[in-house]
Amino acid sequence: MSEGATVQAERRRPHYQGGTPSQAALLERRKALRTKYQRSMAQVTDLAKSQRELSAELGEELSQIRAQADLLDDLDQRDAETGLLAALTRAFARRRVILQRRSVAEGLLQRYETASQCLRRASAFSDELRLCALELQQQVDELHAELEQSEANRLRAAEAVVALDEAITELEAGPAAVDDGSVVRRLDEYRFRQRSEALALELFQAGEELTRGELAPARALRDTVMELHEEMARFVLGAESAINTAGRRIQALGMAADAPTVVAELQTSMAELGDAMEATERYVEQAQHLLTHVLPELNAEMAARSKTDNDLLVDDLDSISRERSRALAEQALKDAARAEVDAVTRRL
Amino acid sequence: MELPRERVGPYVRALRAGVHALAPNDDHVPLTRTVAHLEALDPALSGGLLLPAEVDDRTGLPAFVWMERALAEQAVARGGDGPPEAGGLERAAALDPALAGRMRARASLHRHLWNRELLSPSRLVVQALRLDREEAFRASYDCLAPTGQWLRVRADLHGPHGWAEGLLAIRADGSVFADPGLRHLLARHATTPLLAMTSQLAAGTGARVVRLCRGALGPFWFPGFPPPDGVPSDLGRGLILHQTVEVVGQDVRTSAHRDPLVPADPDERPPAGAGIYRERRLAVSAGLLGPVRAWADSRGTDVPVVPLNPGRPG
Repeated sequence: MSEGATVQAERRRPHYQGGTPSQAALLERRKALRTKYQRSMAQVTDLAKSQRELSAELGEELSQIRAQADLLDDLDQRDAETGLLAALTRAFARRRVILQRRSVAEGLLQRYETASQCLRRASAFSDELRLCALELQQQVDELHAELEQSEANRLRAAEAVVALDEAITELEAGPAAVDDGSVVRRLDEYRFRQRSEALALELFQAGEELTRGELAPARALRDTVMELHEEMARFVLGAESAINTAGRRIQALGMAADAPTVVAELQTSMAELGDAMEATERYVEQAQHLLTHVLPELNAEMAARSKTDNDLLVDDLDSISRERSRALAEQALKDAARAEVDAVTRRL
Repeated sequence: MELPRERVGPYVRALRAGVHALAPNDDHVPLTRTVAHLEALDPALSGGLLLPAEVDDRTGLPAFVWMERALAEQAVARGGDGPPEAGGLERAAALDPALAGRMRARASLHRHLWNRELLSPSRLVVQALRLDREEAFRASYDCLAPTGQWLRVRADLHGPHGWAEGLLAIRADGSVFADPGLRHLLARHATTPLLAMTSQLAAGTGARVVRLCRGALGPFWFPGFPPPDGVPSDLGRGLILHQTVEVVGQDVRTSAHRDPLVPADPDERPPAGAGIYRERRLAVSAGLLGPVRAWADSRGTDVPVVPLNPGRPG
């Protein structure tokens, strides 16, 4: 009997990164991934809701600033009213009129303050989105690392299965007459080890598919949040510029805000606010679309996948035949070789 | 004008040192609020969160939009149920140092803003002075004025019993509720010339304005923001923070004008039984004490000067 295959089988006791796999660990991993995904989904949904509320609130404030500015025209017209009745009314109700007459600049100032607070919240929120996007990217990175580990482990398991299969064949083909019992003992051991490695191989394969399946939704969530963040950052920049311009004018107008000469100037900055308001409306619509379509669709996809994932899990050790083990191992080796060729081709 | 980022910290600290040196009394916006506001603007505390640092073109003080960002951030900081917490800071530190820096700055700024009061763009407090046959109230109105200065207007309003009905009311806790119209009135006339403001307040409230005082902080001259034309250019070599007070009232026995920057109006006549007092105090950095006194002398007035040491913000 040649010692080559059996020696190799003895040597190739594979050491798996992350330890020997088990069904329990795989189930646990699946559960952990689901929980993580659901947590991320809930976080992204909350963020999208906050974003919608913030944008809507800011849009409302911007429109109020505009409405206040329109009062300038009214004041201008009222001050210009002439005639005996208007003059008499003004004289009789002097104190009341003086006190009731709201300074437009004061009104604008209050609106500006609220809009400014919205912007500060939006700015902090933009950082929250950035952090969330980074964390989701980290999750994607972890999934990739896990995938690589599973692939490497599957390859090791496949090599071990093939080596053991060859060792079994060698032992089975050897001279039975001189057997002192050690061949039978080794055959038993190799057959057991081959089944075990084949089960490991199947578990690694299932794990690999599980991880691969998680990658797409994790990427989708990350992209969603990145999109939210990019939009929010752009939106904050635009609104900040419009509000700052309005703030400078409002402050500069001060008491003069009631004078008709400044109406035209303020109206110019209000036109800038108008642009910011249009952007707000578009943004609110996008957030609405995200909440009502994109995120629910992602959720539905994940729910559907959860059902089919059950099929990935292997049964017990007894169900794995030697032929199936060999076939699985050869497939794994072929996959690994193909992946290597792909990698080389990509480098070229 | 916008300050380059590297100048923001030194600028804010120099201004804070000037405010401390001037030690404003009750005729001016409160020292504690002013200092807390300036500390918030300091990038040493708030990083780049409240930038860009915009300085008012007329006064050299932080412009309204810059000041207002701190107020808006304070409203956000106080928006929660309790003191702000730095959520996610550790997670961010591991992933993106720049983001973590921003979050850290926001957390320290929010902690600072949580229990401190800042200067308000428009704030009115009224207290009762007398409530008998004659009713007297003191209205203190603080604002970041359109002139770019930080103002306090204090008006002592007197009248016969019941004159303030519909305008002011005493609450159960002794504080005074003021009709919002009074704040609007003061906002409209905060920078109106003193005697004209007295008339407007009297007409608007129906009270006798027994004393009216306006205290202003600013301008602030510093290298890069020189004094205006008519002032010796060598005063632009250092730091000079101005604080002015104008009072018209019966307690001003002798009218006086101690302001080298704004000349006295020869046609101005105080109301009967009252006097007008104007004074400009200056906090001045080392090396400028002599030139400032010489300038005041050349304008025929003296000026109270206190040393401003930017290395000792107080």
